[in-house]
Amino acid sequence: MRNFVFEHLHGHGAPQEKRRIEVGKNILDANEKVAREVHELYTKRGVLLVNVVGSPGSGKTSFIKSLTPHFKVAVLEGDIASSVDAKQFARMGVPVIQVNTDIYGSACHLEAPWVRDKLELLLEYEPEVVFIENVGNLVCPSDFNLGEHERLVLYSVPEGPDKPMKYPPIFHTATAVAITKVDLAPVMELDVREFEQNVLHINPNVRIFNFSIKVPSTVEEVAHYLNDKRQELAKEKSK
Amino acid sequence: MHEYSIAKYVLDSTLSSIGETPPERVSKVVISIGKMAGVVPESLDMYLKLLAQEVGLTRAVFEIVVNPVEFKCNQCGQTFEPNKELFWCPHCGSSNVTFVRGNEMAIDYLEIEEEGP
Ligand SMILES: Nc1nc2c(ncn2[C@@H]2O[C@H](COP(=O)(O)OP(=O)(O)OP(=O)(O)O)[C@@H](O)[C@H]2O)c(=O)[nH]1
Ligand SMILES: [Mg+2]
Ligand SMILES: [Zn+2]
Repeated sequence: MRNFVFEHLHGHGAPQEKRRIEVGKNILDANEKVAREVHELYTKRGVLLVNVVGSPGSGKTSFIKSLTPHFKVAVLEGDIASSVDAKQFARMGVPVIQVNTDIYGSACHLEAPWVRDKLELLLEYEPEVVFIENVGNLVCPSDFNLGEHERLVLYSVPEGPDKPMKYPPIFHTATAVAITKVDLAPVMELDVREFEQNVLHINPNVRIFNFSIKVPSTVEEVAHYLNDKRQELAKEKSK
Repeated sequence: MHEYSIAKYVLDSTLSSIGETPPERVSKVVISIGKMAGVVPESLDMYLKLLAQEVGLTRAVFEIVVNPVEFKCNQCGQTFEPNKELFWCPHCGSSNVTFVRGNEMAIDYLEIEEEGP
């Protein structure tokens, strides 16, 4: 499409021609492309890739640690700075790679091109499940697909029941939501059902877990779910 | 805060879409953002203006179109725009609703000024 606009620009008086280029592309296409490659690689290897997102202190590290007895796990640890969480995994003998976003303008999320090579490297440990602990944030990680099979949002009881309305995108893109620290609900006089209702309003089909590192049965329930996802992956792989 | 990153993707994508055309000839970049994309348009606009200078898009005007969020009611079939507190159907009150659109983020088109014949 061409439209001609007659204007005097830069004094040379020539009619200025305006050309329109239809782009019609997702802004994050470049990120999506890398994410797709990671996704295909992990699917081909039959390794489940889980992106764990949630507010700072929502219990991401504790959650991943609690699942290490159930699977052969490797971890990609994302933080703005420091390797405090990564050290915890290293001490447990869990293969871990740290990504600090301070070299990427202290970004509050991870992007696929920053983590691709590290996710490839972690496969050399022959894990069953690779967890990405995303940077603690409830807004920014939602737009950036990292190639994960599962996007697990951790939503802790002390954050209060209204977070899904305030931060709908992250809840909308979740494949599962774990309401964490449910052991604190009675202490805080909060009703976990209200949290569940609010999550379902934003994402009516999402799988919801009640989770506490202090209640082993809640850990097992998540482990079962992830194991089912691994089986589905194995089926897909053998197709 | 990730508007900074998104602005960079917009600029990279703009540069790759114009091929050999000098970047200073780009006069307009039209972007559409769904209200539920988790992007603050004012913040994106600020970063675009700031970073555009660095990559030679010195004359580009950025136009950000904000698209509404739309849900469909599975009970009565009507569509509606939810507000912050109400994610159930305003027509029949059902909370059995499905997200239709409102999280898109796209570069729609560019305008380039060319020398006259
Ligand atoms: N009561 C209770 N406390 C928990 C639970 N899970 C985690 N915590 C505590 O919450 C605090 C934060 O937990 P982390 O696992 O470090 O949270 P995180 O999301 O990894 O934190 P950042 O990486 O700093 O964003 C720690 O003091 C944990 O012991 C839980 O299920 N119940
Ligand atoms: Mg942590
Ligand atoms: Zn209705």
